[in-house]
Amino acid sequence: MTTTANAVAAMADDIIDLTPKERMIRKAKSHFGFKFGAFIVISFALIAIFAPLFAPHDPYLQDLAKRLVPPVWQEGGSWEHILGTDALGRDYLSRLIYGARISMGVGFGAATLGCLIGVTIGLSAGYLGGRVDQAASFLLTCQLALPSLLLAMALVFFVGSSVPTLVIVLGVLHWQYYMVVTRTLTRQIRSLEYVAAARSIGSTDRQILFYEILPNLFNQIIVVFSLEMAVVIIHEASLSFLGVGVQPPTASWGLMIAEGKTMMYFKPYLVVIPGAALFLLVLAVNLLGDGIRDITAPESRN
Amino acid sequence: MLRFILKRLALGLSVALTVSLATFLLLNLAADPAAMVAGEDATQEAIEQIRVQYGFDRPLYVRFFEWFGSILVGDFGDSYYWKKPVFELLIERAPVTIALALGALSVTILVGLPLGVLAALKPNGWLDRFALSFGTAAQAVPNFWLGLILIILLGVMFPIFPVSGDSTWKHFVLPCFVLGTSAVPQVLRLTRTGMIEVLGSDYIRTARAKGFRPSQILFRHALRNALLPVVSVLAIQLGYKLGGSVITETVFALNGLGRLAYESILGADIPTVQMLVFFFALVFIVLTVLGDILNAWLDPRMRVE
Repeated sequence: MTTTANAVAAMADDIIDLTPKERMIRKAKSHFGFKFGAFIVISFALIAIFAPLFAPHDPYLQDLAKRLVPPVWQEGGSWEHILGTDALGRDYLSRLIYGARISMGVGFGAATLGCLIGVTIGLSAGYLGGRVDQAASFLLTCQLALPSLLLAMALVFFVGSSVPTLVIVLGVLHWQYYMVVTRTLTRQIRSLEYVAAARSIGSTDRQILFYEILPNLFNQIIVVFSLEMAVVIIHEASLSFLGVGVQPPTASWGLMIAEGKTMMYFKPYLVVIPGAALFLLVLAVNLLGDGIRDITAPESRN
Repeated sequence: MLRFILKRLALGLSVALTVSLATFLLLNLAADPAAMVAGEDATQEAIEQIRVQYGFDRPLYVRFFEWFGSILVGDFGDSYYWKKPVFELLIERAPVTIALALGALSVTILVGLPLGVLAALKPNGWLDRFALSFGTAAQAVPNFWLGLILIILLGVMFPIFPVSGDSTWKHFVLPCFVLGTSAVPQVLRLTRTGMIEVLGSDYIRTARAKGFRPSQILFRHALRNALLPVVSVLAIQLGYKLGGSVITETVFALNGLGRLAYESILGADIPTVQMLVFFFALVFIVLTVLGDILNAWLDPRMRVE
């Protein structure tokens, strides 16, 4: 009965013209990568925001009597500490949950900062052209030549490791792809008829940039945002792993892996669990970005 | 062609100059170099003494020109931490990093190219889906974590390869694999896209109509054109691998330039750090300029901007 109803509904949908928005929603509903990515990213974001509600224990509470309790599926594990405890007897699941705050926070913050810088440069270069464009391209070439991970390590360590420092340094070093995408699209859109029409009715450059051009870049910028966020999350974890990022006792996945490294032969879960969380989040962010691109601009897929 | 080469060289030089200035300013403004050399518990007097002794009291631009001038005559400065010329350190540590980068690049090419070509033969086929999924997964694996997992699995449970140090070629197998994997997704996608585009072009259809064998069409006609964009990406990737070896070298305890950079950062050794950042940038610039020239040589269309 329901199958027939669905089939009829599908037929009806094919006959009735869908608005672009409705078409997009339909595509989103049938895109596995998008659904999976969105589900994981939203879950992780909620877990990060409401960490105190989700965490079963205090992530900083040390209990030396309960050091290195294995996860529940291993012999000696208990439901009290589902993912076990670390070398200081801190609950691993709670630390993992609080670690999501660092990964999501630094990833989102740095990607936003990079977005502001890159889109500003890209818009000016693409819209104004000429000298400004040349200067921006030169800046881009210089930025691409710099070893960004190494420079980020040095700067974060020299300035003093803290979360705000990480966000600023990683953000300032990750604006290139926003700039490239924004510049190319702005150049294309600038010469379209509707922009000329806007100008002819007396729109100022500012109005054209913010009301005519920028809204049309939104989808592509979101795609770059997700890809850059994935890169930044890995960079934060790498820096924290090397000891120049987030400092103990703060819980960060990279730092948890570093702390577990000394015991990884006997207690592999200390390294496997936070790494798996990192992998899952980065995978989800990438899938979400790819999904948004497929749904909004399938022609740019390759 | 000569005009093209000269233009590229001029651009490379001006980028190198700007990058050196940026590196110098960023690293010297990030922290008080005198305080860093003096260490954490140093008194104010000790810091001031070091400031004068090392010349940190002079204006920034004087110090920049002094640094840049000495680079031009081949003097890379002295390391505070290692107590010897930075140039000696570079020469000592470079071979390991070069071996690692070249090995990793081979892994990238050996995995990325064939997978990309195979995926393009039947877009949306099972092999294509597998290759793309593999690419997406490989992109999401943190390098250092993959290294640690491999150390746990292969180094200890199934001890085939040594997991720490750089004394034999066997020591390089796992690090090259780890560093090489990170660039596979990009090369794979680029090869696949280029290949799909070329295979759909008219001249391939003509070649098919003329009755060439599929393998001949693939290798003699299609691959050459499909690989053009891959060439410049490989040049860029080699540069990134030289500069991005910090993590891999630290995880596998390879005594290369990346580890030198890491140890110098922890040792607050500004001269070595700024020289290494500049050196990696310079290598990157040289490689991309060479890549551009190689591309222009392979494809005359590239010579006009």
